[in-house]
Amino acid sequence: MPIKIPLENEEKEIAKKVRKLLFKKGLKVKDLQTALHEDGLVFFAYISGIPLSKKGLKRLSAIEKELKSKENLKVVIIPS
Amino acid sequence: MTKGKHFLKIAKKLTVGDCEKLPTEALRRTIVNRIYYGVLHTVAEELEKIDKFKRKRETPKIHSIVIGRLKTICPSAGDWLEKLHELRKKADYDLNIPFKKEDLKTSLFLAELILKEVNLCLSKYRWKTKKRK
Repeated sequence: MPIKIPLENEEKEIAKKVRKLLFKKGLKVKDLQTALHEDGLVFFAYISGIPLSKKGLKRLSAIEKELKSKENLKVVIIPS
Repeated sequence: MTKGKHFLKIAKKLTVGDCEKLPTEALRRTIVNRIYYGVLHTVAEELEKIDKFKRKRETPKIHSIVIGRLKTICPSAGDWLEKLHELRKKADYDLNIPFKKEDLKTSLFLAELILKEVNLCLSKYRWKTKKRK
């Protein structure tokens, strides 16, 4: 199992915000990972409550788009 | 000539094959990598058939070019391919972040969905352009 690198303070704050925003959307975040890709911070949010289906993924895509356009946050939501 | 579907075949074989002795997480990352490139090249091949869209294989921009073009014809599939791209980047570069079972499961589902949706969208697109002519 790879070692999880602790988040920087700033990253922690943004992560908190991501959790809060997803909660507001009715998603329960089971785990949140942060990655630094060439285009900035990316959050991988593992959520429960939405099945891995076409309809479910469409809903998740809409939430991801909204977070990107309104909050400038790149979040990849993964049903688990 | 190698085609996108060949990568998908390999990914499928790795998913269901006898790989118990291989390191699980590294295997998951490898499968997601092949799935992504399989889907990317399959989609690009399909796009090449319908218009003058040409891949510039030599540039790393192929990802954004294919995703961007796909979004104009088939927005949902474009969004899903972008998501799969993020998962592929995670699989290949973020070795310090756990790559979970859910990541593989989601990638497999996304691949299936993208290919189905692309087929549907492109047949509609072809029908529309034929009607216009």
